[in-house]
Amino acid sequence: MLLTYLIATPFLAALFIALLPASRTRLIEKVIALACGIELGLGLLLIPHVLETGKVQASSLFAVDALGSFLMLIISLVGFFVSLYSIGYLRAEVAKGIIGPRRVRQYFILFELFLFAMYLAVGTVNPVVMWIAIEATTLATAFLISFYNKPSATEAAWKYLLLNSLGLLLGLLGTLMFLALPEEKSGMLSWNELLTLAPSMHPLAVKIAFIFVLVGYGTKIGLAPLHSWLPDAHSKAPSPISALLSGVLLNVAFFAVLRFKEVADGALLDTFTSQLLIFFGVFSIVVAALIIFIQKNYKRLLAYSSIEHMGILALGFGFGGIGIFGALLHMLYHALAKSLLFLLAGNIFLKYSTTKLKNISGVGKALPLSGVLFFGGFLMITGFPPFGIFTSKLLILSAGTGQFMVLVGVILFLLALVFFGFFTHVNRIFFGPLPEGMHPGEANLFTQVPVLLLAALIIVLSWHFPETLDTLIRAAASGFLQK
Amino acid sequence: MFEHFAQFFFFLDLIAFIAVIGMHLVKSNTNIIRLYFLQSLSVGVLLFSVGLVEGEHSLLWIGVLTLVIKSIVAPIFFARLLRRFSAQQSANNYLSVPLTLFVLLLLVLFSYSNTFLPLGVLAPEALGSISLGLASVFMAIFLLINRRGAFSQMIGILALENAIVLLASFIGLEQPIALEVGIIFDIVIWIVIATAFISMMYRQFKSLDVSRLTHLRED
Repeated sequence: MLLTYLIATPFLAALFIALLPASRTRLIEKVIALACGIELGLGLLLIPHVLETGKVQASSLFAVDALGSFLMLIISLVGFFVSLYSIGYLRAEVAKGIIGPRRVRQYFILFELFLFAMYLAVGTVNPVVMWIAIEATTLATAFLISFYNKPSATEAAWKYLLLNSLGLLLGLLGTLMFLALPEEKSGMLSWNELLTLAPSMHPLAVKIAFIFVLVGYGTKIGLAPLHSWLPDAHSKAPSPISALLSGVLLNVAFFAVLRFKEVADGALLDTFTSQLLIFFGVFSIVVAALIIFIQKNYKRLLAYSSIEHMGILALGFGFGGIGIFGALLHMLYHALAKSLLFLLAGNIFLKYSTTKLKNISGVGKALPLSGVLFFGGFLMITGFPPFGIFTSKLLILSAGTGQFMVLVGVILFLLALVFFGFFTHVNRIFFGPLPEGMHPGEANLFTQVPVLLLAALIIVLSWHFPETLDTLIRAAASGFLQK
Repeated sequence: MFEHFAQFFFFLDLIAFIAVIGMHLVKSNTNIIRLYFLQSLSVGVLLFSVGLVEGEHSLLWIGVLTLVIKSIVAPIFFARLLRRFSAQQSANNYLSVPLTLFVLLLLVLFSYSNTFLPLGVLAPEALGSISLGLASVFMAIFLLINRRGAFSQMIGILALENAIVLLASFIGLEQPIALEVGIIFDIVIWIVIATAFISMMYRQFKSLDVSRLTHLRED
């Protein structure tokens, strides 16, 4: 029942908020905080059950294994912090007169529907239901990206809607091909059934189907060269939504590719899927490393950093072995650190009312807490020791040292480029003079407490990794290693 | 039983294929809607016919649902939208007509090339239809790239979805009605959201020409 409750909670919360009058903003905020708190609790409760039995089954269509439970944890964890932060962020925007109570209600309805679609995508065992759910994430977030109703936001949302729909339709084509490959064709096949039937699938047809899946869901992941929607959408959406898009949605789309990779590997028994992932991974890191240097907008900077990290994830799963464990670890650390940075970017935006890097200086003085955390977040995301991303990157790259020594060298050089590019921008906005007439101070308590807690969580997880979580990630990784 | 109607099904596939080619060549948005209607009609009739031939009640219902939503409701909805914005004539290609035709030819040749021959294992008896369906898929993607109009791009996505449904029916993939309804529901919501965005774009840019969307370049 835990899984059912977890999937149903955000949907019921969205429904309940839709029934409330827009003027009851405080009640809506309480519902959001409560719903996301329940989701986090359920996400955590799910883990011991999954570890005990290997799988939690809610019905013939819904079940989660270790990998699914791990993703559910990421969604609920980031969702919880982002929901709390959203309360403070929207309060500040209402106080500035940018939005009214109706927009606040609309935001939280779409927010919960977005979470619901992601839980659904991860919680189902059926590839078609997963496709429907991931397509639903596009539909739920399109209006969140155009939330400010500005021409640039509408443009970004249209691009997002179009490119993601195109990508997902290709993903659907690949999905249908996978489902039609076994002798007993059926849209009701589960991942486990597909895995069992994989050895009987025609290898060349599997390769074609996997290419469609990778290109399709790869668009949603933001792997270069399919990434063009990502910086636009992330920079135009409200910052908490950018945090969810970058921290969670990209991972959910990656989850889809991983499920198909398992099936394809079972059919091909070679390194075809790994080679493709390595190719897209390297390409994404190259694109991000070069563009981060010339960025003019700090939210786009963070978006390109997400492309880089999706590339690193692809490398980890492509290298295999210890790289898979590293990639799963990286998924968690990146989700937390990138969400933190986007939430802090929201605080910077609330203070400076601009996303242009050239118009910002003295963040360290203007935002005493957020400024310091933003600098810390930069160190976390670029893999500075002793933060967790350093460990995960090390694991991923060490997995590639045997077979891809030269490539690992190139990647290290590119990661150094990213660090210096990032540092140049962060250094400029963090130090520098405080703009004339600007008084230091944060917007409100809700924009500070969640980011402080999130930063503390990242630091704790960097130093002490709970045994249960370690076991969960090992169990999720072993699913790939057994193939 | 299926084999007896193979020619009829291939004919429907051909109509859908020709409709997508037509979408590249017509100048007015109204004609694009007509061609989308034609493509949707052939998809709906195909699903309905397969349902009849195979005695599959779920396919019969999906065929009816497809006909109602994609061939009747959506075209009427789109026609009203175009009338509201007086945007019946706004569709243009980036490439000239001869170049567009040349690219379409290349895409068809690519679909019939040896690259996709392994897909024959999905339905050896319908290899021709699979290739034709793939050609429709690629041409619908090209429609998205080659058109300047936001409306044509929206139809491009829907034409792509139709092409994929056709392809799925030729590879013999039968899905439970709940999943089919789920996909159709997603598409309906997609249509509603896309038309809402088209309205927003028209209000903000006074045009549906996507080449005028240049605000993001400032960043």
